[in-house]
Amino acid sequence: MTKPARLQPEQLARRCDPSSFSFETTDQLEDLQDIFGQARAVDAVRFGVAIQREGFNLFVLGPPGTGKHAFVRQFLQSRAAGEKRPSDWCYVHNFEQPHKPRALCLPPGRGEQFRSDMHQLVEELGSAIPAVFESDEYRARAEEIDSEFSERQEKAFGELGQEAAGHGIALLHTPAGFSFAPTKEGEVLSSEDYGKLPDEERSRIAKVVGQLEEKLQRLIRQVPRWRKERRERMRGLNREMTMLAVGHLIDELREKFADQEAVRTYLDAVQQDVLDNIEDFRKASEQQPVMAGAPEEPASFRRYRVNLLVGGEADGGAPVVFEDHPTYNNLLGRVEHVAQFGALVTDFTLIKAGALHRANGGYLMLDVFKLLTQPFSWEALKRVLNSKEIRMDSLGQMLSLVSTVSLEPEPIPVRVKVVLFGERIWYYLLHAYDPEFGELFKVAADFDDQVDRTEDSHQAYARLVATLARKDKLRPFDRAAVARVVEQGARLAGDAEKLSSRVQTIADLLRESDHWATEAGRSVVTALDVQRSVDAQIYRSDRVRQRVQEAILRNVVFIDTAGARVGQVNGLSVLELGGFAFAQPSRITATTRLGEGEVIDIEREVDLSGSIHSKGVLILSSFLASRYSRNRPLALAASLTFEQNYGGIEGDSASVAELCAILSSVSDIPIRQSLAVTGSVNQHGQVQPIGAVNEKIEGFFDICKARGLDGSQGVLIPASNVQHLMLREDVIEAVRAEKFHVYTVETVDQALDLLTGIPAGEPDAAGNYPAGSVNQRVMARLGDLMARRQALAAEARGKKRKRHHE
Amino acid sequence: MSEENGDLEFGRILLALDATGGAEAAVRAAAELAAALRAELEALFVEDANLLRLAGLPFAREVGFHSATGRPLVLEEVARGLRAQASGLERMLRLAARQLHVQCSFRVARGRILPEALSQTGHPDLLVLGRQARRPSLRPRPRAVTPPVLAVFDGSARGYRALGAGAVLAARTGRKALVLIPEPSRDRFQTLKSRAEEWLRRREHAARFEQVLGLDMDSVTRRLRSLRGDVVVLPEPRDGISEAQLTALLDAVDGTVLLAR
Repeated sequence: MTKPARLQPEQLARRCDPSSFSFETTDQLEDLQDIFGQARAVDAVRFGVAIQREGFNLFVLGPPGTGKHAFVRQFLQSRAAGEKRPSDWCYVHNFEQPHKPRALCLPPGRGEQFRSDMHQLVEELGSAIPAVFESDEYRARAEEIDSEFSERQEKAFGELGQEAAGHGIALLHTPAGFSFAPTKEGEVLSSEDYGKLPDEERSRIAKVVGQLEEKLQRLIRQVPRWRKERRERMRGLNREMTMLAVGHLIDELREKFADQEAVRTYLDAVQQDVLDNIEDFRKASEQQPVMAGAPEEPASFRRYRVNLLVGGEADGGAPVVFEDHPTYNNLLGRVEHVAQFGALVTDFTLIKAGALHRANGGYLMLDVFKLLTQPFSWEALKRVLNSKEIRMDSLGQMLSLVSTVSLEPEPIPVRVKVVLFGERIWYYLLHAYDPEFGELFKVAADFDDQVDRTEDSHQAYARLVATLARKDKLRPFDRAAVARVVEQGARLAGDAEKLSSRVQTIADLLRESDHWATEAGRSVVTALDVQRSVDAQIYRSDRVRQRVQEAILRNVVFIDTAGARVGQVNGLSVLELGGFAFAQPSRITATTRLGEGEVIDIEREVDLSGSIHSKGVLILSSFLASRYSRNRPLALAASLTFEQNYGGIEGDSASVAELCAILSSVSDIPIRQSLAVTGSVNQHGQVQPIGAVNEKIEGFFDICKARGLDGSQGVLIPASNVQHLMLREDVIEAVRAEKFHVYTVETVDQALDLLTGIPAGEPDAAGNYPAGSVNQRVMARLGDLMARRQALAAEARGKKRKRHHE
Repeated sequence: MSEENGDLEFGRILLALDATGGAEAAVRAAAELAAALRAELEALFVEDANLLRLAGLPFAREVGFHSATGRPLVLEEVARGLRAQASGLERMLRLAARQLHVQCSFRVARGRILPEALSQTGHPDLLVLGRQARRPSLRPRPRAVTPPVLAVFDGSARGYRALGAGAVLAARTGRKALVLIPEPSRDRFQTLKSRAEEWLRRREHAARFEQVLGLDMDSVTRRLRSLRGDVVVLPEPRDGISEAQLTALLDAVDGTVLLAR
């Protein structure tokens, strides 16, 4: 068995040598052209944006702070600037189906012109049409028609009156109509005078009056026909006169938009509608606003407006839209309503564009988490991408929440590249559970949160520092400061051979370093400023860590750092609160007794542990049985617990410690409390790597340092974790002074060697361990337990037989 | 002192009414004017003698304006109807007079309205006639928009009185005023228009103006018919107005006609 290694100071952190940089300050470095360390993702973005095929939308995935958002936005903006500006889109009134507004597509920049021209047209019609109707020509021709019909009527009534007069009878006006009566010298005969007339005369009068009445009735029935005829003639005149005003105005627009078939068709409909509604324009010239706050423009004129949904300058490239609040309405647009006289009304002018409209012909960036948490937004986006058109369905109508009048705007064809941003989990979940996702988002741009640490990446990191400093107008960083930033990058990655690519975190570190340099009155940021920034970040966040350490130092939480105890070992667990991770030493204890091979994990029994931890404990059972009791039952029961743990525990990084505690208890060999151990173990007793190794070492170091370093204290870590070490300078100094030690172990036996000070022992050919070794004492105790168990079993069988005979 | 420079003075307004309808609007117009001009209002309701005699005849029948159906006319019913109408109009007049603080009188005569109105002694300053046209209208029903008060201005002293009465009535009823100037000459029209505008401006009134290409009453009547107004104020011609002209005017306006004297 190889001996466990004690690490040398230089193995505890991989330093960045400032002399490896050729610059004095970052002012001498050029900006990074691409985002740092994301070559794979950058290639994916370039590919995804360039390919113009169905479904090749992008999902940019990766942890926050890697700069993916800024990079993609910048990339899209620079690409979009060189692309053709997409068409303008307008909504106009549909004269045939008013509830289905029509969508008009115009070349870039001409939408605004069209809107302005239509506005001007309506204004001109508002004055031109009344002017036509007030002209002498119109008045003369209208009077002509009026006169013609009045004369026709006058003549008909006059002729009837004359015919009556020829018979000595007058046509009289009564309160509700007409009547005929015999007259004498212009006066109606009185009943007395009438009675004096001869019978023949009275009969004649009665007969003539009857005939005249019939004619009068026929005449009056003729009046509605004349009225209708007159109305038709007046309408014809009105249309003819209106055409004089409207025709040339609309013709000007037709010429202006001669190349736009849809606009010309719309203008034909406008002309027809104006002719059909001339009275609106005539009334508008006479009408006063009847209510305070009422719009000056008559409601009927709104239908000639142009709702420019998307439009702008003719040049300017393709749009890049980031919708930060991707609600259904913000994505697809909405139809607004206004209250009028207590009712909610709407029309096509109240249609508002959504992000998809604005991004049509360009790029739309969305945060996937926000998208998924907005009701109906995800489904709506997929529908648009599948159908390639934006159809505005009112959510209120769809869910029957409102019953106001709404519109069905004509769908607008859409061609947009959608870029979703989100953490990896969303990409994997969508891929697994949404069958459409893979079809619609075929390009994944995976941003990594760390890059390999090489000499080249050191140089690139320096340029990253230079780029960020210039972008944020920070002081230049000297080479030592850059080296310290590189080291901190490795520490953030939790790996001496990697560098963090979380640009946001690095940028924050640089800003804070610049602040401390300013405070110190320096014109260049130095390593001292970077270190102060790191220390200050920790200090601002470590209130909880201080409280935990305080509790240990005051013996509220029991952690021994000296002496030796049976069945008790110092484990190390990590807490992460608000983005700050720190280690807390934990006392792990084990008790053993006669049993049937079970290892009771007390945390699991009370639901204070996660499944990974439980797995680790089950592996211990397997290891114990396979090593010490391969050919006989394991007559042992063990209980394990994290003492004073009230908050739950997860992970298997304490399984080496747990195994050592059990073996200590079984063998009755005490464990040195000046050591702490971390690492997971497999079924063969091999120690496997764990996470947050730096925080764990430093956590135990801080306690030991507070109690006084005496050279006996140290931490056992898995050998495979050496590559991750980026320890604090004070830890390294203590190791250099041999006041603290970091050991690496590859097997549980090596750990036992160190923890007990007694060799674990290797089995000989017969499988026996050397006398006095830990393993031999374990085997011996297990043999005792087995014998005791067999004795108990025999005793029980004897009692049973005796009862049977009795 | 000419009318052009002086204030409007209407000492007596005669309101002539009959049973043909349209009397209510005439009552309101006359009362508003009397209040504004501080004039005395005298109402005359004329029971049509011919109508009463007709109703007494055994075969008397009436053919409806709109229905074209015949129905018998009964003397008692006609007489009762006339009395009821007179009494209703009197109540309405006295109520309006009380509200507007106008001195008024009401009397009933029998005869024919136009000769009775034109032959009234005491020569009222303003004659108000309210009655409907004598035949079914060929024109559409009145529009929802309130038509302007129409006034005819010919530059004469009576013309200024008509102009003033029209402007006052428009202001009292919240309507616009449209002034017709019967004058074929464009220059002369502009001169008259300028004078009328200035005259109205001094009295804090305003109006729109329109030229009528004819000096005679027939031209004015034709224009009034096409304008579809429901109230017109015009100066009585120097040589008087015939019954036929007045009938044509009433048929054209189909509402209230005010003659300034």
